[in-house]
Amino acid sequence: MKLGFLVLAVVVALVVAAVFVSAPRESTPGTQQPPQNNSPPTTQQTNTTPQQPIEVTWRGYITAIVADFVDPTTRQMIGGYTEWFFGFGNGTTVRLDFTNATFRLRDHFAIYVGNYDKPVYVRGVWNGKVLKALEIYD
Amino acid sequence: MIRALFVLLGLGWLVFALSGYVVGYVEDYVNGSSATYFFLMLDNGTLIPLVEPPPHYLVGTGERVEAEIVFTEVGVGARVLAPRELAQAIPRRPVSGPLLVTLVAAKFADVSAEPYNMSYVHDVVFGPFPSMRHFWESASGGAVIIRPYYIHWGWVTLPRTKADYCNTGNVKNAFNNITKDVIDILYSKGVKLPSYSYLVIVLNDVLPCGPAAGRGTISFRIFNTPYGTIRLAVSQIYHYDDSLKNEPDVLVFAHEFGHNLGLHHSGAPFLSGSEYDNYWDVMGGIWLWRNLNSWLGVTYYGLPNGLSLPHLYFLGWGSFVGSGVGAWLLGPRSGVYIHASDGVYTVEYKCSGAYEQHLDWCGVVVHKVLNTPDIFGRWVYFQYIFNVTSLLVYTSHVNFLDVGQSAWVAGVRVSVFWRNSTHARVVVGLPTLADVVGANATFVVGSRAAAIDSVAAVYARTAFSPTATFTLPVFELGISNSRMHFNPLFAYLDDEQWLAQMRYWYNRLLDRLQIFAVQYPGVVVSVGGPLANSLTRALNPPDRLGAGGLPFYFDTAAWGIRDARTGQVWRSGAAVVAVVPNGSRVYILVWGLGGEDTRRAARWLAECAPPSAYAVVINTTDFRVLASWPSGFEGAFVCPGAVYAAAAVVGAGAASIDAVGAAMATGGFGLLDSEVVFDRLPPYVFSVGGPLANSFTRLYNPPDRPGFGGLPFYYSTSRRGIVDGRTGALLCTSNCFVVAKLVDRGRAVVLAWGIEGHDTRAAAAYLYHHGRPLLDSRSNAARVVSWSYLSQDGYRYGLNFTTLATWP
Repeated sequence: MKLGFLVLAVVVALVVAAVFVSAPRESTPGTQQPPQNNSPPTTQQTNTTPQQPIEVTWRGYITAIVADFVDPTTRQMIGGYTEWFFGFGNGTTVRLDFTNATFRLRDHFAIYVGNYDKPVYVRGVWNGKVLKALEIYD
Repeated sequence: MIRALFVLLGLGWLVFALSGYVVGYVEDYVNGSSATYFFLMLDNGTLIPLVEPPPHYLVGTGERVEAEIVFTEVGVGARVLAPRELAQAIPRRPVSGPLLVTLVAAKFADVSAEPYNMSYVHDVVFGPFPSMRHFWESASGGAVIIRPYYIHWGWVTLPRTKADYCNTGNVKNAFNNITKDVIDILYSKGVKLPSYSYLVIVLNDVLPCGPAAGRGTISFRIFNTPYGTIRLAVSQIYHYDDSLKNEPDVLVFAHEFGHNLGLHHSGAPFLSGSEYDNYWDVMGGIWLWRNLNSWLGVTYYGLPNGLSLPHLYFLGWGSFVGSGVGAWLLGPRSGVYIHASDGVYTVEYKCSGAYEQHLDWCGVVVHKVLNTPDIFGRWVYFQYIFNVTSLLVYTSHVNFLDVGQSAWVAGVRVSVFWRNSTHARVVVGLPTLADVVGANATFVVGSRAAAIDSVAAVYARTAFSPTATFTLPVFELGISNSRMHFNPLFAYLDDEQWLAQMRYWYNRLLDRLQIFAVQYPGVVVSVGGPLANSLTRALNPPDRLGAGGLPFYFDTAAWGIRDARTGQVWRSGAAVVAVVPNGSRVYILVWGLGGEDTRRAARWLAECAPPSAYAVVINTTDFRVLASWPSGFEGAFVCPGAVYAAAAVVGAGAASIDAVGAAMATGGFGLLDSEVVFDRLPPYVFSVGGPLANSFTRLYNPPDRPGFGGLPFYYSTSRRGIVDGRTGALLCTSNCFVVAKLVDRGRAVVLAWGIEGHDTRAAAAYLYHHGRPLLDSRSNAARVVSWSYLSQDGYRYGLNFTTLATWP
């Protein structure tokens, strides 16, 4: 009887643990810290003036466009600038700032950029123009 | 019993994991059949049969592999283990196969100029060397094939002006809108772009809202088209300067396509400075403008620089032969890595390749691969290894290791010992004597040392190869291939300040070029003891430990060699041989208690197999190792000996510089003139030094009269110069020398002597660099040559020769 109770307790504990561990990936991470808005913005929203910042957690893809500037006199590159984007996979993208982000990716960051086989979750603050990432994970 | 033996051998395998190189040979039989045999070759040359065929790409490549011992019925064999896979620290996202590229030249609605014709646009992307296609196919080693999917022949006109594009909010929108407009134009012509293809758009101006030379997506982005959502990698190349009409900037095309393949910038680890600075990588932002004759005729082309190993590995085109401490042979696409707490350092060799051959230098370079990207998203840093760095200027082109140089990387030493045009031998960790044998070397002797000390350098040269480094890059753009030799020396006196390389970098703060000067080419072999050679004295001073804790030193009180660890002293018949990394260079010290001991120590290096120790004290009579550092190599040693094809003879009373010349001329027996027994001489005998300093030279070329076989050039004691006996003319009185080949009783006696010691060394250098026709002549021949030092900015870097007279 005691043994049966012990087994039952272990099984319950394992189930609870499994649910707990899988929750951040499978459920909507936004439920962790209200208030949040986890609806992807519309194309119109991405071009509007900044709105009240809200914390969001979105699933999508990291993309980038790199600009290379050249000094015509010396003919050497004098400055590079990279714009990072978070894309929702339907053509809608928002600017992404990961300056203060924590990366919790299973592979190296470089593998995710422009890679539509490697979606990520970004938890961050969306102000209507830029998604300031706090955490990037998969 | 057998099982116990197997267990012991198994344990031995665990302790001494096998590593070596895969070699093989084929036997072809007259009946048309053949048999192939493969072996694991250990570092000492031992061949162990492989029990199964190795992967073909490992055979004969010189790439180190690991193997395990296998016991079979016919004996012990080896099996090559799968290459060690790198941990996830260096990312890998292979690209291979055909890549479909669409090329469009597009005009802004308000700019009518067509700066290039379509032949130009086609060739800069798809043409022969140099082009974007050719670069990436070369860099990938054929792993990718860049295929034109569609080329629109002729400029298309975009529906919007430059201002229109810039007024759409930001440059990102401009980039996207240009791309979408081009997609629509192509669609109107019936062209649908496939998903996961590449689009290169050549534009006829720059965008006023961001006048970049090029923009590229890192890998793919989604674009909505009339025929659905597609994923494209897009490059936009802008006409940033009219000079591009005549001077194609291939690099900017190759660079943006590198972004399309998934690469980011590589360069300086300065978050407040330039995003770029990597001379050795197409993603590093530094052009090679080279004057070439190619698809646009003879003109300057902006060449891509090659691809760094982290990027090669990322794309699946490069590999690692190993990691951490060890001796490694690095090839064009392979390197080693060293783990660090926040990433991985990679070590690679850049020299050969269609594009790399245009780099000013060949060098071993280091990169750091970050575990997580920096705030700009970069993950490959160029690693500066010398104290030449700046926030404002590029210095990656001077921060490389040539032969003999050494630097600290992630807490361990990385040293380069040998290189040719494709491979370099690199040692990670402290090098041992076993590691350095065969290195490209420079020889230094004391200026006031006895001749016999210096003759030892001739033996030392047998154990090493003269350095193969380039001397000076010509800085001007006018010379297309700036890697050159200028008849450099590799044998010096200790008080000379010779500089083998001058690496220029532009100091923007001072607004002038600066030189990072490299004093010696190659590993420096310092011959002679601390009392006779100031270089030896600096590294291994008397009465105290040497550089790096070298425990063997000359004890002036005991007048012998002391082992500081045990206190033991050897007072005769002993010598020290040591390898000493110090600063950014590796030195080898060879010195004995007397001159003869020094010569024997150099001979030990030439004839014995040095142990994997940092230093030894040897018995110069029987070549036993008396003490080693670290301990464990004492006792009798393997000395297979050597067959000498040449000897160098120097006057016993000659100045050191004469003997330095001897090391410059040849490796082999090192003899004083008083020691010569003609019948025991090898086939080639180099007699170095003039008739007043070397009695062997005097036999063949006495002063004041013609010499052996009618040799007409001689030293005139009254006119103090070299006279041509055929005319009686005084040819020269300074900065000149005689070189001659005389055939005597089946031996070639080669004379090299000048008015003074430096002239004699110049004669030996001439023989090394230009003496082959003379040495190959079947009959007696001679030349009188004048010479001068080549120097720049106060540094000497080579020699210049002018022939004054020839015989016959």
